[in-house]
Amino acid sequence: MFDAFLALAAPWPVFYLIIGTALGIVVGSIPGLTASMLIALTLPLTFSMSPTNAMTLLIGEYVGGISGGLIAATLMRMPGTPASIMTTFDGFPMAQRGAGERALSLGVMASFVGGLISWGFLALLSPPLARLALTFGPWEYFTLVLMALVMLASLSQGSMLKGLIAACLGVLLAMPGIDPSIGQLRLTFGFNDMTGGLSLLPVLIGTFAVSQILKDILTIEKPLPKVTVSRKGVALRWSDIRMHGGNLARSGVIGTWIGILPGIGGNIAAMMAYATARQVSKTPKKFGTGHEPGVVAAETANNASIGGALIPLITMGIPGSVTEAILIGALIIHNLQPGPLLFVTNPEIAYGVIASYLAANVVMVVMMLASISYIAKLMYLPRAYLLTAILLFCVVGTFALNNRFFDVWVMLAFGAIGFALERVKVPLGPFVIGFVLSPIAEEQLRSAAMSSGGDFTAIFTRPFATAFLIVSLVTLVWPFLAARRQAKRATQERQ
Amino acid sequence: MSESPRNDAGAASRAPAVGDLAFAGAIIALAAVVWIGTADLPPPRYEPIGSAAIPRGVALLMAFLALLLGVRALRTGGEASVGEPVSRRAAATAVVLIAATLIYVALMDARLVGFRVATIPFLTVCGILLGGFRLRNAVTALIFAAALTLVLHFVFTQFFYIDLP
Repeated sequence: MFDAFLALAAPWPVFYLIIGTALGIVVGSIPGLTASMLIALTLPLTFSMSPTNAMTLLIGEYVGGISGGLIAATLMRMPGTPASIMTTFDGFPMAQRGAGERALSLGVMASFVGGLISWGFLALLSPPLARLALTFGPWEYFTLVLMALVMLASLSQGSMLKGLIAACLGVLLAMPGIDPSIGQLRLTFGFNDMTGGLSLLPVLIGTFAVSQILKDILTIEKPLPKVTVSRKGVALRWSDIRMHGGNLARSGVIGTWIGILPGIGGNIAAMMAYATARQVSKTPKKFGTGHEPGVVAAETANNASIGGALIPLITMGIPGSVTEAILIGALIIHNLQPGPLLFVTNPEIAYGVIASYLAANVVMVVMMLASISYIAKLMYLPRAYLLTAILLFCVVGTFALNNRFFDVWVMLAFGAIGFALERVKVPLGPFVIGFVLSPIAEEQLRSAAMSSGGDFTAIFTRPFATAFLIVSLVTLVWPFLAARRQAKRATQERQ
Repeated sequence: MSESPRNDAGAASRAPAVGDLAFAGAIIALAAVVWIGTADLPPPRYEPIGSAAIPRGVALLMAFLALLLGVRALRTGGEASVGEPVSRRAAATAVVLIAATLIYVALMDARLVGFRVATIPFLTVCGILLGGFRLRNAVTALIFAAALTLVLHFVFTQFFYIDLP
């Protein structure tokens, strides 16, 4: 770990960390642009970088992107990122009564402390979890991926049925091309360009960046309210940390825990921490009216969820959310195998991610406290030019991947698919994570079947695999049982 | 007179059901395409599962889930679509922008025009469409388009050594 911090102190990593965090804060602060969109768009630019520098840049963008969302949420009641939705409840009323600077400084402090708490868990839990995961065979890996997909589909917002369909669709769309086990061509429909399958990058850029541009174009006429922030009020005192100590610690742990679970994400983490803070508060009625603990709980938890989500990512190669799926894509693009072997084969990357996460939080807090009044002005960048520039980056970045236009067409098609899926309330998380995990799941299932001679009951001789399978089944069945029980109770009450 | 609100409510619940039904239909059609596309794959030889079983299994599961969704949409009316209602002008802008993007990519793909020649007018059109039809905006959009295109071309060809069309 010490070596990772030393490596991070070199000029290039420091440069990428600062650039990444700054870009993340700017993009996060602009309503309509998200951290996942920025990370997907930056991926093509990381080809020429070393994997360590690339991951440093992307982690900086992730931390900056989630933290930057606080600015528009507080000042405009428009969450810069989905993770900042809960911040609008108390941040905006505070800004309305002239305490916008206070809300922002509390939010920045809370984001930083949330990051620190989850970094502690990340640094402590990752190495032993990776060692445990090294004992996993193909059955364990297959059931682990299955569990992640089922949890993601059932716990993501909206209908579980649509989540499951989205996961299946993602899995299926990753299958054209060369079969990973025996090299048989399949589902190419005679197109030579399909031999290599659908590349990850065009799919990611299309699903997140192009579909987001389409969504933003539809709301471009909506004017943004004008607000100003003075630098004077943006300051922190030690007493602030003492006053909110309990809330910070509790929300940090909740955020980390929610982050570890696949598919839930920063917005649910913030929601749960907010609800808990209100439950334990002596003045619960003040929540939603511009109450400081509300901002603290939401911002601590949404930032803590990043560190939590990085734990399954670097220890097992399982993405907890869409942004982690893109980070997995970044590792794959740099020829690195995400999973427990990362700690053995490329420890500089695994520990580099952990070190970058802490450093990005430090850079974020310094940058935001020093320049939040200027960053707030960036929210008013003319969206007409911003969106066209992003669209051009999408086209050029995707073309640069293999110097072919097939990828650009794929990107545009996935932009339309992503937009259409969101219009009919189909969550994009299970879709993209299904796409990323599909090759791993298929490869593991087929090698497991080969090692057991086609005997699928062999799964029950492996305790971890059985446990993962049981968790998957329970996650799948539980919502139906709960809904049925609720309906039964409602009928009894009516009688 | 009293029937009018009920009719509105009926129309409102039918619209989302149409979205869910269309989605379910598209998914079932895709599953059918996968099923047909994997029909001529050879049976497993060196390992027990083979190349076709997993795509076929997933397609079958997906079609079943889509069928359940379709039935639910017919019975309960489905879920409302996401986001606020879209104005006609915004929808028209989006359609023109999509068409402009498709033409832009198609022209470069067919090697009819190079990156710089295609990108400057494309970005200018996008800037005017999204920023408004005013002379000042058109000039700004043109300057912005030229500057961004030339900078991007320089960065990609000279810095990243990537040949743009």
